[in-house]
Amino acid sequence: MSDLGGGNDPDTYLSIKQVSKHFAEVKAVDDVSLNIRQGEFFCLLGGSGSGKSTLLRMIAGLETATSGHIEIEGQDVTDVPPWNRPVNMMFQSYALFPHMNVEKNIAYGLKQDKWPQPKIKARVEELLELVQLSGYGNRKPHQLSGGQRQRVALARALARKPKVLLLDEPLSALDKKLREDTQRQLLAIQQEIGTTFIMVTHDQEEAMSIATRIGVMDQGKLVQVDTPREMYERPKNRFIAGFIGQVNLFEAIVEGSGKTQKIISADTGGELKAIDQSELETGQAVWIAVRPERVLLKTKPKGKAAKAANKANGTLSDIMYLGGVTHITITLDSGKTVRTMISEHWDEDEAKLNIGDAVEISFEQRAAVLLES
Amino acid sequence: MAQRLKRYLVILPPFAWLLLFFLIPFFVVFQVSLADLRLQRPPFSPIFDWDGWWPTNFTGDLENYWFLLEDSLYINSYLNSLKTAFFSSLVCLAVGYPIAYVIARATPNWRNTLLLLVILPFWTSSLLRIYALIGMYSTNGFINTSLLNIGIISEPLQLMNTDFAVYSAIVITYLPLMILPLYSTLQKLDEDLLEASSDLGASPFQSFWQVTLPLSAPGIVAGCLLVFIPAVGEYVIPALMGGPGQLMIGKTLWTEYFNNRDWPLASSVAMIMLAVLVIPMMWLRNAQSARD
Repeated sequence: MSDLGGGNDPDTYLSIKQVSKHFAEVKAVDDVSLNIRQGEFFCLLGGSGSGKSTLLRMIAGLETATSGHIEIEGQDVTDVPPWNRPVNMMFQSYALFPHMNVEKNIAYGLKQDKWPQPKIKARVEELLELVQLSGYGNRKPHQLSGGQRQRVALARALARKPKVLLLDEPLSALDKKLREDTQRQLLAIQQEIGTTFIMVTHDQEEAMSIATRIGVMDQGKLVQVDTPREMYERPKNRFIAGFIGQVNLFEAIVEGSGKTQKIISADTGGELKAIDQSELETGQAVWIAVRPERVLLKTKPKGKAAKAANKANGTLSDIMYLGGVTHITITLDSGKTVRTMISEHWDEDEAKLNIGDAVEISFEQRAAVLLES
Repeated sequence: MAQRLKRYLVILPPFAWLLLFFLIPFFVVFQVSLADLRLQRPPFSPIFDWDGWWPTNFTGDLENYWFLLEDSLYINSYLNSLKTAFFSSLVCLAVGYPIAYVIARATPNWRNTLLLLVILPFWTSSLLRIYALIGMYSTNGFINTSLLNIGIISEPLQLMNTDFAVYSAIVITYLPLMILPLYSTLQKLDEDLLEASSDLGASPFQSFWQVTLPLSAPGIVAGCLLVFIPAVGEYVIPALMGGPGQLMIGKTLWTEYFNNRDWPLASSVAMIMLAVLVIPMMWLRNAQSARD
């Protein structure tokens, strides 16, 4: 079982305990356990079919778990129907009621809860202000832009003051520019009201920039739960390393044991040293992950073999100038390609790099992460 | 320019068709309704003479229309027709809505089978179906003999020539016209909306009233019109299954044309019927487009 982020965290607000969801033969969500803290902005990140939306829908009650339990503030809600759960969801399609104006859409949940009319009116006004749509109360959804509709959907989902707000790819329908602005707004609103947010997204940049913690899902399993920084700097395996940002992976074999144990890579043709390297099994295959921006580049006359650890020789095979930063691809003598990037102001000499130049790459031990799978 | 010409060419055939087979007959009937009864062929007086290309000596009047207002027979026929059509539409809606709902929610395979079953009766002649109903309702018919055999009743029920016979036959005949538009709006209903509704605290029953029903309103209106309009003018069913006292405008129209051979009066009956149907519909359409 995976108890990533599970266990007995005293701050736990929402607890997912060994939850699975099977559709016929397919395990959409496979034995997931996860604890979410109050006030957190948690991102469930994964590709399509990773089970992230199914997990979110199970929290909302729109999907029933095949096995496992979901608890909110210690109360088991696994068998509670969606209309009685203290959570609300913002749908990817927004799902605004087309026959109701903005005001009625936002008031819908309050009406179901039998709020008195004056209180509903005040709450709707408050929410319209929160999402910066004051004065739009009488518009119908089809009279609004995509961004405005998105904000109405947010206001409607927040109206009942849910204990947890679930967001299913809330920004995917917006264009890139609007998406970045909206990310910032979403984060500001979350910080203002302090509600726990769980957002599903396939966009790793979005998750990195917005989340307090990220849970990466793959094939129904929760692979790693960490803060964005930890996730980027200490990925748990190759999947995470490749999924969050770009990475250079060097394949290597463990040789010797005890004090003389070394990690030797055919890719670099020499020894590799990684951060927090502990005793490994002799002959075990491992991978060393190095982020492109941590790979250092030096021009070097051809023919001289690199002897030191974490160094390799190669030829510059591609330069992609992107303005503030230049992406460089190096083909090592082993045939392995390595990516790095340099800032334009970094060194004047480096700016005069040419394709075909003989170069040496190197990286620090603390930039190298050892992956066992 | 060529683009526009092409567009005119495309709409020309339907326009020509409507002009030839709807607008011209309409004016012929309208003209007859203004004329006077005459015992010769055709059985009405011309309402104008031709002076070359121009009509002169206009003699038409609204006498026939006044007559319709004076004789309660016609007003009662109209009212009875409208009443019958109205309640038939309501029954069709009450029966058709659950059927359409189930079909729209069924799996795609089932959906096609069920739709086929709804349309299937349309492939047999409606007259045939009415005769089949008569066979079932008659004194020695299936229903009476069955009930007698079971012992629920001791003597045959009078089913034929009753309101029940007319209503049930209209409902059975027009039910598919109610189900199909309802199905098409219900099937387009976004599942996300119902999920959002239940997520916001509405039970399935509340969701139905607040989301499904209002969003299927266009289907309800279309279905009701499709049943109501032909039901108002229905002639065959009341003639074959209704009692002698059951005045319906279709029957009255028939009597005027073929028994009394009073074409001008029959034409004005037809004109009024058209107005009774078209004016509320135009008003409804205007109200609807004003709301959007």
